[in-house]
Order: sequence, then structure tokens, then C-alpha cells
Amino acid sequence: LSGPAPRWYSQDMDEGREGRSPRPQATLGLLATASVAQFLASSPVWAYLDPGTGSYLFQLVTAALVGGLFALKVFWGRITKFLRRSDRPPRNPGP
Amino acid sequence: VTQDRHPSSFRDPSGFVFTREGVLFRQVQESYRPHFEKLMASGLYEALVRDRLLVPHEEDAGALQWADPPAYKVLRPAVVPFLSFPYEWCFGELKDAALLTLKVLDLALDRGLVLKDASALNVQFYQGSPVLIDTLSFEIQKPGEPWVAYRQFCRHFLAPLALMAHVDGRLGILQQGFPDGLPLDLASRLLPLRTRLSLGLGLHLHAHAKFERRYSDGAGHPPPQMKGRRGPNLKALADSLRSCVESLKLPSRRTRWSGYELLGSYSEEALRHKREWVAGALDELRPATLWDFGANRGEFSQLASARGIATLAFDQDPWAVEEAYREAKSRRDENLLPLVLDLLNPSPDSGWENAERASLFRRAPANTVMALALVHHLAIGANLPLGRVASFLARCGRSLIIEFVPKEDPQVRQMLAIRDDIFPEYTVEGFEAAFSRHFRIKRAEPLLDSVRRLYLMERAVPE
Repeated sequence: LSGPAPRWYSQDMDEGREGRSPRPQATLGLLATASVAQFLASSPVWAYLDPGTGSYLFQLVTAALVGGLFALKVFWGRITKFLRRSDRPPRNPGP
Repeated sequence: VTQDRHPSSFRDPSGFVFTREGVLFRQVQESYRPHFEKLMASGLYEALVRDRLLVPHEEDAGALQWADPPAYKVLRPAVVPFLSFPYEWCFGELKDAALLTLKVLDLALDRGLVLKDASALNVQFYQGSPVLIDTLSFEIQKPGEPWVAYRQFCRHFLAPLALMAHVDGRLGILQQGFPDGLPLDLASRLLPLRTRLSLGLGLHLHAHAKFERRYSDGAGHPPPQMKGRRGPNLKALADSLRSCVESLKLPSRRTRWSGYELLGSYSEEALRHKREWVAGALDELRPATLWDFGANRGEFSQLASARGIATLAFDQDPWAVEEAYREAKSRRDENLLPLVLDLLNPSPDSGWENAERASLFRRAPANTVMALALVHHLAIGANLPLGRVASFLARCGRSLIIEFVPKEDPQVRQMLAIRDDIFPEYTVEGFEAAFSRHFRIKRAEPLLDSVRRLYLMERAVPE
């Protein structure tokens, strides 16, 4: 794992293989294997813990959902906080 | 001078734990320097220690002189006197350990750090609450990276908690067979169908397990649409996991043990006398540590913890232990730790080379052992000869507070009602003779308004 970590499933791999194989399925299979290998190679070198390929990919796939739900929750929290504040009678209006 | 590396401290290359002349040290390797510097300089260490979320340490510059290279620092961490393991925790203890882990993660993220592992074995109970004991669990966060310990968190915490909450409270013991956490596909298969509809478990357990299965042993391939994707916002992920963990509850179940006092084994007078006698014995012995076997909900353990004695309340029933934990927590009892333990099958030496996690015996002895209303369950319920019970208790503690429940007691009569009485030695004389081989009986007294007897004993041979 020396040198810059390659990006898994990189663009140039796609292009490089294009048209060389007469069997598109075989190309896809090769690409798939290569991309998994590349993905594993690019996993952080400092991780002593095996994060698990499926688990790692799962986080990439669900990132938008998890982030979206969190944003909604924060937004909803702000609305309820605002409503609660406007419900309350004005505090200590002063002399 | 010999240096004993802790037998479980070998996985993380950032450092290791060892003892030298009885003192516990943690060596930090040179490779961990940037992460350690950030932990200290960012104020995270200070914040975590202030809130009692992380075990404190002192840097030992002297020890660095004799440490093996490539040492960067040598720390002297505060010592947790009794190490307990996740398979000995009740639901509430595991849940609090999970919430602690997520809180630490959240605070770390605020300062540009992340937890690089999320093992339940990195958490210990110290003065009534869970603390992270691995100071080297932090590393500098790389933006856009998924959480490297996500799978470990789900396996170590979410899976056993979900199984206890949705299937059966006794399933915590599964953790003993899977020290690296429960496989997610196993948890997913055991959980009821309805949990697939819940957002948290549906996502973090079921879908996660399915994904993991799909990409295990290199099968399948990453879908092309994942090209160039970034990981989730880790604050959002931590929040989602927290909501999921918080929503899990252990259904209350009135077991035989958690409603034990309702069985009417004692009159009010007998119970008062028993309490006073035990309190008197504790005041006489003044132990620093006490193990209460068959503690049930910890009613008598509390007499010890209230006297500042570091008390472990063991019971085999997870619901009784759960109640004991909740009660101790509500009283902010810093001296009481309730744990699940089957005395007929106590925690073994386990892990790599059978050395990573110590058996009950390797964590013994306590100053005092308490075994109240227990002997008949062992001798008659489990056919254990009284001599074997005595030798076991003598290995566990230096002094003993014990209650003998004779055959005339309604409970024992009930136990013998449908089986042959094959216990001719089970008499007061037989009990005293068996225990006198290991202990010196200091005091004995019949319990008022009862046929039971209370004993205070001291081990005959000190070690």
C-alpha cells in the first residue's frame, strides 16, 4: 500500500477496458472483481479494524438517507422550539 | 524487572497495556503520535475525563526511559478494580455502554476526531457508570470517510440489545460465544419480522446484514452508482444509532426471582432480623470488597454498598440484575455493580489462548462473600455436595456471610416434594461439618421466626 491510494472503480478503468473484450458480461465481471480489489486497496491504511466491505459500502449507499433524516430532525426541532417560544406569554414585559 | 504485557492487548498497533512491579501502564507507540497529540490538544481528553466518560491517565516521563522502542509516551491509567465483561452485563448496562460509546463519538467528531473502534470490551463500569478504558481509540477524522467502527458497533451493541429487547432478555449470554460481536445475519434471522419495519433496526441491522452478506467473500460487486460517493455525515450516523439504541427497552417480566420477596419466605420479623444481622456482620468484618452470590435484586448487597464496600451483586436472572442495576442507578450508588452470572457455569477464561478475558476465579478473591438463601439451590436444586459448595466459596472470598436453609423450610420442602430425598448430609450438622473444613465458624444464629440459620465464617487457611 505504498504511493497514493488509488480510487476504487476509477473512471479510466472504465474507459481503458472499453471495446477490448467481445463479451460484455466478461468485461463486467472483470470490472467487478477489479473494482472490489481496488476498493479494498484504497481502504484507509491506518484502520487496524476490518471495517467489512459490505458494511463500508452500506454506509456509502445510505449516506443520503441518514443525513436527510438527521437534517429533517434538526429542522423539526427548530420549528417546535420556535412554536414553543411563540406560545409562551412575553416574559417580564417591564415597567 | 519483568514487564507483563496484558494478554488481550495485541490487536491495535497504536500501543499496548502492561504491568511492571504491579503498576499498570499503557505504552503509546510513535505511530500514534499525531492522533494522541490531537486528542490532548483539542481539549477532547479533558472534556471526556471531566464528564467521567474516559478513564483518566498520567504521563510517566520516567517510564518512557526504559520503555521499548518505538515508544512515544508511557501512560499510567487509573485502574478499574474489577473488570466485567459484556456477557455479564444486564440489558441496561449494555445499553448504557452503547450510549456512552455514541456520546464519546459525538464529542470526538466535534473536535475533528473519530472513534476507530467501538468494542463493548473497551467499556468498563467504574464507580457506578460506564467509562471508555481505551485511550488509544481515537484518531484524526478523514472527511467523507465512512465510520470504520460502524459494523463493530452494530455487532457489539445493537445486535445483542435488539435480541434482548425483541426476543428474550436471556440472549445477552450469546455475547460469550461471539466475542467479536454477534454476526448481523444471525441477529437479523432471529429477530421478529416486525423489527424490519422499524427505521433504526430495519436500517442498521436488517439492511446492513443483507448488504454484508452480499459482499462477503468478495461475492457481488459495488454498484457503479457508488462511484465517488462520500460516507455519511458521522454526526448524523451517531444520532441515528443513538435514537435506535434509546428506543430499545427490555420488556418487564415477572420471573420467579424478580418477584422473590413475594414468595413469602420470610415474615416481617425474620426479614428485619436478617437485615440487622447482616448489617452487624458487615460492620464487624469491614471488608473493602464483597461478592454477593444469588443477590437477586441486590436488597442485601445494598447494605454493603451503603457502607462504602465495593460490592458485586451476582445473579443468574437477567431481569433481577436489570432491576438491581436500575435501582442502583437511581440511587446513584457508586459502590454497587450488579452482574449476570450462573454459578453452575461461571465465566471461563476465554479468547485467544484462553487468556484475553479472565474467568471469575482469576478475578477472585473478594474480601467477603455473601451467600444468602442460596445453599439449598446449589445443594438440592443442583445436586452439589455441601463440601464442593464450601470449597468453591472459600476460593472466592476470605470471609463468608451465609444462610443455611434446612429441609424443614417450606421452600426446601417444596423442592423435595416431587423428588427423592437423596441428601442425608443436608442437615445443620452436615452443613457445619462441611464448611468447617474450609472455614472457621465465628458466629451462628437462628433467624427469628424461621427455621433458617445465619453464619459468619472466616477462611481457615488464609490462601
